[in-house]
Amino acid sequence: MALLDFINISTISAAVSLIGAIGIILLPKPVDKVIMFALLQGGFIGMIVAAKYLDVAMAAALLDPISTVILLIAIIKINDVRRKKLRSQEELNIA
Amino acid sequence: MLDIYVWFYTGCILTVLGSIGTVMGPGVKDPIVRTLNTEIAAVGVSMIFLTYNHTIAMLTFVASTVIITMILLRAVVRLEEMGAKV
Repeated sequence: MALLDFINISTISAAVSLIGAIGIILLPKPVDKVIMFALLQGGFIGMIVAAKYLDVAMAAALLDPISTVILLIAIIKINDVRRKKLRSQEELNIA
Repeated sequence: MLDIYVWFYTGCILTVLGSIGTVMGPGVKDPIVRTLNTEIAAVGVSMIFLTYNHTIAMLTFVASTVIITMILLRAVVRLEEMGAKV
């Protein structure tokens, strides 16, 4: 069973993070990108666990969701700003 | 022994792919998309640190990536609010 030799924690983590990276690059919408970013970081934490640095994995697992939350807040805020700007421009055109 | 090569090559692929995606990926006219693409390269560099057992460097790099993301996105939103052409 040569194929089963490739199923270990670091190969699966590498596959997950590569899928996440390709997803981030190819998907155009920012929210889809954030979802794929969570996949990429899941692969990264799996790779740290495969290296048996569990304390570093704990710190990385605590820091990564902060980044995701910041990205989501920024996406919502920039969407809001752009919509407001579009609306004020339309009012300017009518008046 | 095989694991180390998997980490190193995945890190190299992610770094190169993330850099190319940041420069000329689809939709990088939007600054928020470009900032998101830089995260791929950051994770790739962290994987290369992991290969050489530089844990403190990796931890510091992950933490500073979070902080720099916060500052960059704040700046992007602020510039968009002001309507600046950057």
